[in-house]
Amino acid sequence: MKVTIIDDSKVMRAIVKRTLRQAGFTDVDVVEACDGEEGLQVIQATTPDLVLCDWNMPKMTGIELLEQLRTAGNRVRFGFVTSEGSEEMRQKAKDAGASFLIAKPFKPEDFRESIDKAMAA
Amino acid sequence: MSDVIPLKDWASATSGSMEEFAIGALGLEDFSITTADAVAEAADCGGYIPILTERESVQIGLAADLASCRKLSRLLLVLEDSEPDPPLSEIRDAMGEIANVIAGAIKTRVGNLRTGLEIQLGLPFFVHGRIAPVAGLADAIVRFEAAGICCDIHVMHLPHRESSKAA
Repeated sequence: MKVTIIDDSKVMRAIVKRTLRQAGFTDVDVVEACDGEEGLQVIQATTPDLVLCDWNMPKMTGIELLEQLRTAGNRVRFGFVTSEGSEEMRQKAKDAGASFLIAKPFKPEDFRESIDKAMAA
Repeated sequence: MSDVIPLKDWASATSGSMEEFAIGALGLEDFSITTADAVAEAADCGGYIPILTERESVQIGLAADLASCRKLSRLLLVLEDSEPDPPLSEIRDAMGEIANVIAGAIKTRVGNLRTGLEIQLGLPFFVHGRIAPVAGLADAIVRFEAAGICCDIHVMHLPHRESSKAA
């Protein structure tokens, strides 16, 4: 599975990668990006199976990135991994076409459950 | 327009969020969360993040000495004892990310107190030194201590001018 991880924190990208492994996703080819703008380029260039994206980032936020992708007709499976998990944000993410929103701090089981559901859809 | 959230509610949300973070992200069971009158003298760096509502600005700062920042970063990264300390750039990054996650949890908790209140988080940043509250700005300090770590979470609260007049 090809996964793009987008977060402006290098430490958080490392934690997301580790959590993917702990959740049992061991055969994963990860490409990283540090903001929405770079993420957009990476997604267009590598056509991942799944995008795991932060919400608050400089240059282009996660929700702006998702909206741009959907406007351009890109249907890649997209999940947020973010520090905010309010109902309002979950609804906004869903309305924009996200498969899930995982709030930090998270556990490997959160990844397993959300990603399995998204990949099966 | 909703009322200003009292500082004590921001401080209470901060304590709860730190506890959640210590257990959920740092994997700690043995720690203490108390209040303090002033930020520890030794706390000379840390991660900060602004929170904004329509009526007030709040700055959340995790102030600690470099040794505590290093230990917090090691816990966040789940480094083994045999692994070297992360470089300073990653310690800065980790402290900003810890501030970010705690602020996200604070936002959820405070949002539960006021239905419909719009709360926005800024981007986290790392400071060498300390952000001190300006005169007239109310503040509270939540002290987190665990396994050789002492970290003061500084909550600085500034109601917007119109809100102060109305209050």
